[in-house]
Amino acid sequence: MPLETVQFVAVLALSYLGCATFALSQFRPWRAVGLGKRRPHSTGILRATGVALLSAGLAFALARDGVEFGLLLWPLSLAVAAAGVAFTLAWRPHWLRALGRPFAESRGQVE
Amino acid sequence: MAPFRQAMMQLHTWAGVILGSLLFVMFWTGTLSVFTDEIDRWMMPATRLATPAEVPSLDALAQKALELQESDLQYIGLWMPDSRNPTAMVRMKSADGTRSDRQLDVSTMTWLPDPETAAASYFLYPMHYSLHLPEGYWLAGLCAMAMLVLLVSGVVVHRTLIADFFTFRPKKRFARSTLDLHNLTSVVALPFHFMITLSGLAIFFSLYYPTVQRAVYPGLSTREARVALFAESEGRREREASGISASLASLDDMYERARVYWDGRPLRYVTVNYPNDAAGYVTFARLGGDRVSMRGDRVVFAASTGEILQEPKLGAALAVQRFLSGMHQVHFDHWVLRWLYFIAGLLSCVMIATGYFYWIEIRRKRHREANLPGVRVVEGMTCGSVAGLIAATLAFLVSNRLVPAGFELGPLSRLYVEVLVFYLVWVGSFVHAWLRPQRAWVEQLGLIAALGFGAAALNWVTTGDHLFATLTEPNWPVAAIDLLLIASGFAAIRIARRLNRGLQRAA
Repeated sequence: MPLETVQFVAVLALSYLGCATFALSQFRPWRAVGLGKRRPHSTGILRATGVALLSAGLAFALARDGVEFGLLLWPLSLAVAAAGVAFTLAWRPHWLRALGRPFAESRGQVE
Repeated sequence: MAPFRQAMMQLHTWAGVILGSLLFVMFWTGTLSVFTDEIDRWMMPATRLATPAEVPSLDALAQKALELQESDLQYIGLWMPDSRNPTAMVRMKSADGTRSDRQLDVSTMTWLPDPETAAASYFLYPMHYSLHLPEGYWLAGLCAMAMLVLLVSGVVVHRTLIADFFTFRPKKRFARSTLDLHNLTSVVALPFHFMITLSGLAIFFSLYYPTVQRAVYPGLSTREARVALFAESEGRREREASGISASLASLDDMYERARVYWDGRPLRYVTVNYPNDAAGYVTFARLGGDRVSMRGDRVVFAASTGEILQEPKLGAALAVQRFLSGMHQVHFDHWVLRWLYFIAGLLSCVMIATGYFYWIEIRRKRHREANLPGVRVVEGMTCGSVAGLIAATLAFLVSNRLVPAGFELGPLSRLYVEVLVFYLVWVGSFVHAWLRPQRAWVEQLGLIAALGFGAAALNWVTTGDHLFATLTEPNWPVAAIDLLLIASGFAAIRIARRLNRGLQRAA
């Protein structure tokens, strides 16, 4: 697979995971995933992880396309990823369980 | 609700209801314009050629144009083939004002037949910014300003923007789920909506803000001030013919010297004004696929001597405008971004349509009980301007494949038949929506599905380029359009079935 394709997949995947961790730090999406109670202080960790993932996505976008195109690629990928997370939460919320499980109070327990 | 937020809510609601239909037309045609060249290839089968490996001889191209025209040519424009358009476009204007555009297959140096279609370049794309109305760019500008107002007021009225950032509840009642979808598509693509609207306004800055130019160049008319502005900030040259005849110097030699300024990057177009006059001039602009900014780095030569009249030049303000133009028009060679623009454009269309749906749903019961016509009028308008416009676009493509080349019926050639079909289907969809409000959506979605599948099938039947062939060859432009047509058919069926179930439950 060409490097450019790998980098774009990385931008999209990191944007999706970043948005998903942000979503899991919020009340309604966390409840939709069905992992019971969230561990104390996990909101901040989830948001910090989200920032790190989105920043890594930006870094890949800049590495792939440079500043000029990278700064267009990143927000547009982010828009698609954010919409993807919202649709996942609407139709397939259990797909995000693996991502949220480390932050659930009782591991492995599903509501 | 706080008075300010209440005022913003009123502004958001009514600006959206009044201008939403026009905004949908602009965003739908704008979204399609991302693939203007690809739609052109689909609608002009004779242009489905391999991209030539080398830039053809410019002297040979100019000679072809000069041979074609019997009367004195005032202007020749040569647009080079590129990765998305394998033909050379030759634009000519003769002394009597007659204009003609011809496409040339540069590998054989033969003229291609008249495509007899406006396709995307001359119909869908101009509709995006002019709505095909006289002075329509003013209306488009008003819509763009309204869009900015809608975005800002929308952010103000959306109280739970962060908390509901990822909220979409499709199983809730229709009003709730459409509001969720409206908020979601607005918020996730907010930077895109804002960027595309603002940059759209910036493209026509010289038309929308004429007083600024007149203030900078006092004593000149609006047009003269605009010419002076571009001459000063971009080095664009305009001069009249001298009446003294002279022969055209070698364009190929000029091109070699122009490339020095472009670090060897290829040519986008060359224009020759007054090719047989001593005051004639030649303008070269480079291809800009490797950068966002839509600047040609123009080099201007004297047509008869080949002397350089103007080196590349761009003022700071115009450099910003060129960047915004490039960002809006997606002229660059970047397929990932092109698809992301397309998806973001579709999100904009969904945002506008769901705004209407929400307005209708929360008023439906009250208007019915009070016997008010508002919901019926807006519902018909929404159906016509959303489903009707999509059906009209697909009918435009279907008519292109159904009506044979060379068709003439009185004054109607295929080009006019296609446009006529587009408007007939579009106007008909409004009439249908107002006459059959209960079934309009389901029936028009059914029409979209039939037209989508029909267009892809007709492409196969009339050109032999079926999807398997275009995917394996590969002929990506044609394959992509066929795939989008088929996808639109499936999407329309899926939505129609859901609506139909909803209607059955309501009954």
